[in-house]
Order: sequence, then structure tokens, then C-alpha cells
Amino acid sequence: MRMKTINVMMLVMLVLLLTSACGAKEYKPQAINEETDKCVICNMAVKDDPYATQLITTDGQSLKFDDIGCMNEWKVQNGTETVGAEFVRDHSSGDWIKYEKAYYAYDAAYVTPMAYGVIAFEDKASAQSYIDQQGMGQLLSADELASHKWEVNRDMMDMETMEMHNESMHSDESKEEMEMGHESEGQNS
Amino acid sequence: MKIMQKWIMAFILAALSITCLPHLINAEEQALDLQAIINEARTGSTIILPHGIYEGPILIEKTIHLKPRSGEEVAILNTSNQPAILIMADDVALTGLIIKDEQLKKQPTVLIQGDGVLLDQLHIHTGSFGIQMRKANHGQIQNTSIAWAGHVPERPVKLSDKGNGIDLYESNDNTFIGNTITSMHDGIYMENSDNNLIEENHFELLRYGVHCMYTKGTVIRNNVGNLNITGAMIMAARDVEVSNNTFTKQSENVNSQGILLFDAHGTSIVNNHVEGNRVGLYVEQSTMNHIKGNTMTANFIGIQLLDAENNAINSNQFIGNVASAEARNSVHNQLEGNYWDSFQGIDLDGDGRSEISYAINPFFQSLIKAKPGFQLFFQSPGMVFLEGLYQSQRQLWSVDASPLMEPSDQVRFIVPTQTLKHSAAVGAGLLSLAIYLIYLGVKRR
Repeated sequence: MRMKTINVMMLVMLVLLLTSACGAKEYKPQAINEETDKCVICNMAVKDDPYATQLITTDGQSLKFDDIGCMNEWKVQNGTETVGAEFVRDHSSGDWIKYEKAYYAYDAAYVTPMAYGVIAFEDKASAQSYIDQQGMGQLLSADELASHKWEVNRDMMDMETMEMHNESMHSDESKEEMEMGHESEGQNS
Repeated sequence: MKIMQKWIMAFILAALSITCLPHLINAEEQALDLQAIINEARTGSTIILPHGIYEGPILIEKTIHLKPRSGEEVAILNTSNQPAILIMADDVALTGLIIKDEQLKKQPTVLIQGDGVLLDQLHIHTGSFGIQMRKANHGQIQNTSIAWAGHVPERPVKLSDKGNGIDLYESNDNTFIGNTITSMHDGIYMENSDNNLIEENHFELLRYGVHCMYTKGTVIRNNVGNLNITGAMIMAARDVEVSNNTFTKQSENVNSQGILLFDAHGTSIVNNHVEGNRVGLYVEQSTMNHIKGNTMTANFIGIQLLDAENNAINSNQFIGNVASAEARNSVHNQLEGNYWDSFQGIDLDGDGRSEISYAINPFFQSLIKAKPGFQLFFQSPGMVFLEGLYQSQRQLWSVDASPLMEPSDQVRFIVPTQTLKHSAAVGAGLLSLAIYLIYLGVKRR
């Protein structure tokens, strides 16, 4: 009987030890599994490409997003209190990097899965060279991204109000919108 | 006699090689200069190609019509990194060509940048996107097949390797009729593209059959989708019509559904047949949609409403689903006159509609939102019991005020029921075996 209680004590100690060890949390990004991962916000399958982002909550849940704009939307809906860490992927290498350490290139015409047009880079130089290469876009640090407006390439709500005012005006407007071009690389989805 | 046969064989072979060889060589010669033929052709002319294999890439900068001589096979083979065919002029027509472009690359197999282009009866084998349309309006793609043919060395093909079958960006008023798209990424993908008509196409083994992103006025009618992750994905869309489509067996992926609406408003989802999917109709953050006359049979979940408001859901039939409906945080939806086979109503006045309403319990969906792991207990007896206990804020649930007592006559099942009979037979066998074993055990005591 005594032996048993000691055993139980030992087990409790072990569990406590293990959990306290986990307490010193270091958040690590999980690999994307195309078979099962879907964007927590928009329901689309998350592809194993550099547009994917990831947020780890303080209780260790890994939430995956197909576009950094969707991750922003999650923070708008749920606040940042439960956010343990945020990860984005370098556009050239696909390596996971910390959200706050990355640099970002933004242009409305960049094609990203949910059309937010924000692309992450490991360092300032590669972001700048991408912008130069595309011939359009602006460079943002993570801090500057915090005040970003997160507009999608085509705002459906604007479209509707426009339509209510004047149908013909609407078609003109949408043409103008088209002229913004679609020269950038990458697969849409 | 044997020698005679040999001689006859030899003669036949010789005759064949004489008649075929010059023809082949002829075709080979032409393979080099299809681009030259096109360059020489006058604008507006029709070029009839004799049998043979022609080499890509091909650039079409003037209005021409390319087609094979009747009954002959014309293939275009592209091994470059460029599109096999790039169409930059308006009103170009391509008919009856086979296009083989199996290399993995970013450029699509066919790239259309002109208006009024007609593609008819093409067979496209691609290792990239099948057809991309960029600022291409009033085009028509019909009776064309597009299939994935790319090979990735030393690892299985991932979804992100594949391109879409037909991929539209800023392209309006196009028509897609009678095409078959298989094993690609998305079947038809539309972004910032309005008023496109998608009719009588067949989508199989794709990620999403039809995928709308930021579109308006799309019409998706009489299509068939089978074994895709999702049949029709309607996202950030306005005024879309999805009618008379059949989506079956979208169930092989953990996130599968027949039709998904996300941020879709003012669409009409009418008379579709959705069978054997994980979720039949998935509606999230969508408003003002008309969901009418659809049949959802043999899905795990018939209809799922998440943060969906002000939708009208009428005259649908939910038959043989594991759970007819699930809802969470979905208010002001007008549900009326649907048939739910899991619901037992009472019809006092004999009008065929129940006086008791059918309320959709939000318990399970709320639970799995907080703890996704509980999905394991989908429809388990304990979960159903707990769901029955949960009654809070009932006035905010989605409720069918007058559910139908009986299904309408038109209910049909497409997926063969044979498997069901099989499992019934196996089940009966196992049951009798179990009874026998218990009997033996009891006897021994």
C-alpha cells in the first residue's frame, strides 16, 4: 500500500516536472499539411507555399492561414491576448520567420491567395529587391504593418454602393480597377 | 503454308511503311514551321492542319482559325517554359487540337489575352495551368478536356505543384460549356471576373470544382462535380447563381463539402443535388442568399450554418444525412417548408406541414469551435444526449417554422446503394457469429 502511494507521488511529481518544463514556452511553427490544414478564417485549404502564415496561441494551438491578411483578421476578431507567437514565411526560401522580425512588401496588384497583397521577406534587402523587380509596391516593417489598412485587391462592399449610385459609373470604375494590372508572378488560389 | 504467311506479312509491312512513312515525314517537316504558317497566313483566314505533331511554343497575334483536316489528329507538343499557345489577338479560334505540355512551370499551357476567343474540342495535357485568361472577355471554351500530366521527380505531387484547369483574372462575360477537367488544382478559378457562365461541365479529382473569388454575376448551372475537396467554392461573391448542379462524394478530405459559401451575399442556390459529401452545403458569414429546392442526401452533415444571417432556406430536402443540420451563431435566417428526415413533426391541419418547428441545436458546432478535438464524438450517443440537454438562448437558434411531413416525389439517389447492401450482409454475418459465440460461452458454463 505504501509503495503504491509513493508510486503515485512519483507520478504526480513527474507530471508536474514535465508540465513546468513546458511552461518555459518556446513557440515553434508546425509544418503545413496540405491534406488537413485549412485557413481558420476563410476556410480555404492552406497550401505549402510561402503565402501560408501561422499563429500559435498561448495554450499551444497552432492556427494556420492561407494569407497574412486572414491572420490579421483573426487578430481583429479575437484580440492579441491569447497570441503566443506569429510566424510568416520568407517569400524566396519558404522558411518560417517571426512575424515581428520580417519585412513586408505590399501592393494591391500582388497576387496572394486572399488578395491582401502583402508578402513577407526575411530581410529588408530581399523585400526591396522584390519591389524593384516587380516595379511596384511599398516596403513595410512589422511595426508599419500594424497600421496597414488591409484592403483587398477588390473591395466588394465599395462595389455594391457604387452600383447603387450608378450602374454605368460602376462599369467605368471597374475598368479602371482592371488597369491596375496583374503582372506579378505566383499562383493564385 | 508458313512461308506463304511470312511473305504475306512482309508484303503488308512493306506496303504499310511505304504508304505511312512519307506521310509522317511530311508531318515532321511541318512540325518545325507551324509558327511560320501562322505568320504567313492572312488575318481572318482559316488554317487547316494535316495530321502530325507540331512544336510549340506558338504565338498568335492575328485573328485566325486553326483546325485539323477533318478526321485527322493534330497535336502540339511543347517542351519550352513558355505557354504552348499564347493568344494575343481578338476572335481567334482553335478547334480539335491536342496540346501536350507536360513540363512543370509557371507559364500556363494556353494563355489568352484577347477578347472573343473560341476554344472548341481541345485536349489539354498540362504540367501547369490548363488555360489562363487575362483581361480576356466574351470568350468561349467548350467541349474541351483538361487533365494534369505533370511529373515531379522523387516525391508525390502536391496540390501546390498543380495549376488550375481554367484560371480567370479580370476576365468578364466568358462562357464555359461542356468541358471536362480532372486532377488539376481548381477546375475553374475566377478572380475579379464578372458575369461568367459555367454550364454542363464535369469536374473530378480537383481541389475545388468551381472557385469564385471577388466575383459578381457568375452563373454555375447543370455541372457535375465528383470526388473533389469542394464542388463549388463561392467566396467573396455577389449575385452568383448555382443551380441544377450535382455534387457527389466530396468526402475524401477532412475539409470537404459539396457547396461552400463564404462571404457570399445575394446568391441563389437552387435545385442542386448534393450527395455523399462530408458537408452538403456549408454557409459561413454569408447573408441574403436564397437556398431553395436542393436535395441533400447521404452527407455526414446536410447543411451547416456558421455566422450566417438573413438567408432564406426553403423547400429543400434533407434525407439520409448523419446529421441533417448544424448551426452556430446564425440568426434571422428564414427556414420554411424543408423536409428533414431526422425530424418527427405533427401535422394537425393536414396541410402537409408540421405544426411543431424544427430547431437546429448549436451545441456541437460551438463545442468543436472551442475544442476541435471533440469532432471525434460527432453524433456519438453521449454527444447526442448532451445536445438534447442544451437549450439555452433557444430564441436565437435557426428554426424551420413549418417543416414538411413528407419528402416530395423527386428524391433520387445517384451513388450506388450496392455498397450499402454489402455492408448489411457483412453486418448480418458478424451479428450471427457474435450470437453464436455468446451461445457457446453460455453453454460451456
